[in-house]
Amino acid sequence: MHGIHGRYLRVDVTQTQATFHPIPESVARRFLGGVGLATWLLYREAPVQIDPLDAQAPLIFAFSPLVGTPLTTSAKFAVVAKSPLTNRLNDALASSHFALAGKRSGADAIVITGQAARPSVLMIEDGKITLEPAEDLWGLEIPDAQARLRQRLGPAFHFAVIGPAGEHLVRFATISHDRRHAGRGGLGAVLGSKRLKAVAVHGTQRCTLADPAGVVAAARSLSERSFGPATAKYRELGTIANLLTLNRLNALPTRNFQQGQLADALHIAGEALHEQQTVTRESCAACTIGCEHIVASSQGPVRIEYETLFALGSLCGLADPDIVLRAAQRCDALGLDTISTGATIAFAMECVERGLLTSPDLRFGRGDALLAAIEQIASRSNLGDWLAEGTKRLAERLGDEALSFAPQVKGLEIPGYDPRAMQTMALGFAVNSRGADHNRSSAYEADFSPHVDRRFGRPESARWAIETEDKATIMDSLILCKFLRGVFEDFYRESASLLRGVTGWDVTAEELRLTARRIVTAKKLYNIREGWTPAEDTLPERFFTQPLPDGLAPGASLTRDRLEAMKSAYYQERGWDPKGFVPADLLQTLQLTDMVAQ
Amino acid sequence: MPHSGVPEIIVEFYALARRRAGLKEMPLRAATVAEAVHEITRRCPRLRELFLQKPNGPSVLISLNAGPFLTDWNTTLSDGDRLVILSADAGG
Repeated sequence: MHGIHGRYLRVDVTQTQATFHPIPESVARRFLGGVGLATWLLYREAPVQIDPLDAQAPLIFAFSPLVGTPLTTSAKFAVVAKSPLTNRLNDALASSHFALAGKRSGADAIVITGQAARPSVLMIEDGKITLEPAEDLWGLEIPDAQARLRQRLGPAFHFAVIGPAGEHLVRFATISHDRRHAGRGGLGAVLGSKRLKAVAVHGTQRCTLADPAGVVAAARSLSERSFGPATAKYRELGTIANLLTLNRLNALPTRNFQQGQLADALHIAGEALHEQQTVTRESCAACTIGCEHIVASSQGPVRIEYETLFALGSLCGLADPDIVLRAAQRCDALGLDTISTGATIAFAMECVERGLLTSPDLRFGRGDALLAAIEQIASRSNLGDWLAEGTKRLAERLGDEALSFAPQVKGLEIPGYDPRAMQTMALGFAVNSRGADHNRSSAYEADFSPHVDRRFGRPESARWAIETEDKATIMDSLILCKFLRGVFEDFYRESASLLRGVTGWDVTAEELRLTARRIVTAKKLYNIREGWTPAEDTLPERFFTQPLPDGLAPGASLTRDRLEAMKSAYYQERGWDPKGFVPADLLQTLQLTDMVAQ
Repeated sequence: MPHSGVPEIIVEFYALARRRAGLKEMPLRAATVAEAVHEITRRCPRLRELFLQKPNGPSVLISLNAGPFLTDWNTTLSDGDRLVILSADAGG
């Protein structure tokens, strides 16, 4: 076999045991790696209906055939588990050296179950494991824990770490590595529930390439294209450039989705940050794009992305760059997903405004209250204990009125695109397996194109939502960074060629299209097994009953009927039944019968 | 009145286009979107590459008055129109 080890490492932390298990080549080819492979493993390894924070709930780190090759942006790994926030499948991706070192440990994936008797670091070296005591690390913020681990373990090991939020089982805690985060869905809480402060990996086992010269040539070509105009926005400005654009389109979630624009948006816009602050650029390992923009704030350097800027800024009614940067820095240090943190606090601010929650200072525009709430969430102190449960659980405590404007789908907080102003994205939020998610659906790409009228979703929009979701699925399974998507002239043909060069499989573009459909449906099957119901594929009531007010661009409204029409078209196009369940014959078509039967 | 009859519009730049143009806005006269793009790239040659049609589209999108994104550059313009130029890569 080329490109893969053909096995995964199952680690039982309780027993301090690790065993290799084979991954048949047919499975590797059908699920690739990353999110695809981890979905297959989760279905196989997770007990049915398990509590995500139960010791036996698996946490999976998955690599891929492309990891470790010279292909730009391929040094990525997926982390997959049942989410403590949504009780559904959750996948998150992060970049850098952990992926390279993890794959060199000799496995295509690492499945962690069990619970350590005391706070520990799980050390994995060429497939052998040890548990190192970590009482001295427990309680440390992420930068301090990383520094201590680096000092203790030396440069050979790379580690994925949780902060205090993960230790306190905050349902949207992250797993972090080298300033990158597996951010969404509370994977940090899953690691924390196993009493693991970190997973450290090191190895010497490299995979061979089927066509080394071909892969090197492809890598050179891809790198050259990655310097071109298709990635220029990410390189020159980063994702923070989205804020002012979305504000102009009246699509910037503001004050808990009550508006589509913020009056002083320019103050926190990417364009302004670049003009007024010192911004440096960094790259992940093996990346030629360099999209990371580090802003020099009064509190030190802060890595900032659009989603963080909107969630801790406009969503909370804030346009003070010092406050937003400080809040971003605190979330990163404490190990909190910035989207869910900002959205939960913004939701609580509206609850206070409506008299549903008593917390006098927690008001839109109050930076001090935002910063205090972040600290309380990470430590689960005072109101933070409720906020740490996320918007859905908080709303359920507060009653039906609160649920109607809690910004979440399946429990996952909605990212930075107002679904009334971007209605293909609205469909993506509603049907996606991990909940309100922009990265797995990527339907904003359709709304940011002439293919659809973003303010008037139609059944035909479903085709575009599927196109972007399928492409994202392949990128998340190969794995390649989505910021490369614009450089491909024919994505499936070129991806198949890359995979052929690495693995030697005679894979075609058509096969990869089928693979995408297979993985999307496999995720759905996992959710169905865990109790998914059709009622989950929707949006909060607010988006059907409160039109987005006019702003710099006209307002927009979305009706339930319009979303239902798009959903029906989506289900039909996917081959699912009218309620969104998966028919038996589709299992055969997609070669999923054995996964379900196991 | 050398420009009489030719609509006067405002071009707004966002993201990469703003960075390359070094401007937030540019007033100009143009009868169609194509004429406006010609004038924009004449005044700001650094923007030219962003308007090029590649296999997967140009690097910028054009919206008239923040409405649907335009594919037809023959779209006619009227006095006071605002042509919004923004990056086609939306994701975060």
